[in-house]
Amino acid sequence: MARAPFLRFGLFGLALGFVLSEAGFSDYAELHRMFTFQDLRLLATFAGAVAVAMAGFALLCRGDVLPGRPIHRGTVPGGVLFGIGWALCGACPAIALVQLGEGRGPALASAAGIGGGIWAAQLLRRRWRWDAGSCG
Amino acid sequence: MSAASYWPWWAGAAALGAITVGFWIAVRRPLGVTGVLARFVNLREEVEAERKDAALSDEAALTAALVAATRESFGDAMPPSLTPLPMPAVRLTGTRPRLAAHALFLGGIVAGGLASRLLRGGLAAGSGPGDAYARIVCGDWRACAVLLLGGALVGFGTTLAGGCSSGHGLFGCARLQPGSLVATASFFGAAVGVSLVLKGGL
Repeated sequence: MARAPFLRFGLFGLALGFVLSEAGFSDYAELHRMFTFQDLRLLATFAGAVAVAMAGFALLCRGDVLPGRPIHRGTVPGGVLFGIGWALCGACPAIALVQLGEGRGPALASAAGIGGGIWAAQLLRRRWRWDAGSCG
Repeated sequence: MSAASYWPWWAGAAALGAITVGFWIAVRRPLGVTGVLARFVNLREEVEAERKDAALSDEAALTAALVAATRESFGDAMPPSLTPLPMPAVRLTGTRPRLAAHALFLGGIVAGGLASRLLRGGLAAGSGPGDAYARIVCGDWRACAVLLLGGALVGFGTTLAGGCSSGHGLFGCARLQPGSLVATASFFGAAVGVSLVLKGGL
């Protein structure tokens, strides 16, 4: 992977941002209605995406060795903190970027918080050698 | 904006599922935004590692430098025509793509949000991540403080859990990875709990 296919990274980022925005994941009201089960459209979008990806991996990537995601001691506390934060600021890391593109100015605060949070977690991890795997 | 103007669930599901699988097929990398963001949080170390990798990747120059250094140490004791054994390529950045490729990926996500809004007739506005934010969470200057705090929890939590809604939620869950299923249940459960409290339902 010395010569990264730059164009592909850009196009997939563009597609991801566009779809997240068109599906309504970047709209706090829609997100709140999903997390309170008032509207199941986004929930079905997410569950359906997992199902489609599952079928895709089974059909198209049968021989591939894909990286595993084992449970470690950061899995549950990290997930819980992320969930609390997501409900408060309406952004997961990708959605904060989508919101910035949409012109939602306050997303600057969310994005700054995410950067600071990543920095702080890495600092603590280096200090206490937490094994928290990787994401991409 | 009314909910009716967003894509129906099946369209979003098909597109996001296709992106998750297509990304792996196209670039042989797991889809995951947090890990990419983390590289730009550590920009200085990443740039340095990439610079050193570039220097090491010139195999002929590396070999010549090693031979010259060895000759300097051992002098005439060394045979005049020295052929070094081939070395396995080691990169300080591992198998990670170039920083520029990942920058394009993140820039693409921003551009995707922009393109979606432009096709809908204009940029989003409001005091929060949506019109309803002030009503559901809080408004005025406190909104920025809550967004900053919420964002910090997102960044800290996703790094601790080793993934976010893309890396665990989509890529990991689609392959029934135990860590991803547990992480997704944790973040979804916590988000539901907090949202119900915000709504006043608990």
